[in-house]
Amino acid sequence: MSAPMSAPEKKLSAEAAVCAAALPVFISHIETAHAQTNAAVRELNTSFGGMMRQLQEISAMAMAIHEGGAAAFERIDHEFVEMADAQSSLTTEYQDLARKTSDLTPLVSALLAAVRPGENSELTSAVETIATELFQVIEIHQRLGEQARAAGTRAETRVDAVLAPYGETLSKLAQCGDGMRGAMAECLMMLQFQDRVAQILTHTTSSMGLLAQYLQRGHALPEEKLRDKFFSEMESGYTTDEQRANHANNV
Amino acid sequence: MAKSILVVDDSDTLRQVVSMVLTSAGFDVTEASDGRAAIAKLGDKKFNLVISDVNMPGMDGLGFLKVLKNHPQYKFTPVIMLTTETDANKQKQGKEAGAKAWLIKPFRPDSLLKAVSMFVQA
Repeated sequence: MSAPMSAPEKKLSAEAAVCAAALPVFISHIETAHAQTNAAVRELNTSFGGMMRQLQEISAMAMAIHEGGAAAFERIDHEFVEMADAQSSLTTEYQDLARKTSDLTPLVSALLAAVRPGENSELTSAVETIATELFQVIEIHQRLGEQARAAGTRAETRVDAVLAPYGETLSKLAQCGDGMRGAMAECLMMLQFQDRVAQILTHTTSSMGLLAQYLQRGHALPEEKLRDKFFSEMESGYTTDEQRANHANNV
Repeated sequence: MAKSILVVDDSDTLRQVVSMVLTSAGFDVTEASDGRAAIAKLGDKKFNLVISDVNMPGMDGLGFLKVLKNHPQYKFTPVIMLTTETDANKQKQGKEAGAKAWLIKPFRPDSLLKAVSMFVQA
């Protein structure tokens, strides 16, 4: 049977027991901080890798736009030249139309003059001429309208065909931009690991300091009471679920 | 004119992240590293919203909130607590002291902006 412990021995034994009980909690907190740091840095690495790939895609698309731009604008320019030619031909037709319309003016005057009694043969002839001219004018007008519509549609189709790849590229660029925004938001969230880790480590170091104070201050508490007092004070400073879980699992 | 928000947090990283999210949304942001520093900035301009951490050295978030709610100019200014603190009692104390919302870190930028938009528009 061992001899009963002296008061200083009891005190030392109680302190050693509290230290032994506190160590697993400290270790657990430090491991949590370590694990959170590792996880966050791994995730940040992945995110930055993803962002880098997206930036490369954006860069390649921008380069394609730059290189394809000159050729596309040349093709559009070509379409505009064709449109201008068609327009020029239409202008000639319109001039013809104007001439025919102005030709009608003396005929209408003649018609008015022939409305006098006894000059019916001249009236008939003038009306026939006017009707023929009018018919031609209507025909030209219809043809010009159709030609103008066809030229417009043709030019629009061709310009659309030239611009279509740009629309697709711009849409992809917008998608990449959205992807980058999402990845940045994720990074901003992950960077906050620093705050959580700092809180855990700050609390752990201040708890170690608190334990040291307990040991230096001198006390007359039995082991169990000393332990409860220290852990209760330590627990009151927790701010995160992980700290509370570590404490519950180790105390 | 951009609405002003006072951000109180002892973590430089967090203040930077919060400021970046808010300024990119068009807000004017002022930073303070704890409750006391925040009180010293209250006279600089009229803030439309305050976002504060809870656990800070010096004056903590709840202490700052109490001072703020007794300040004649800030009695009705909305306050959002942004913290790692998950304890229900602390949240209750915060609500009773006048906090309008309680966001847990780490936060998603869109969640913060959504909470902010409930009180002020950029």
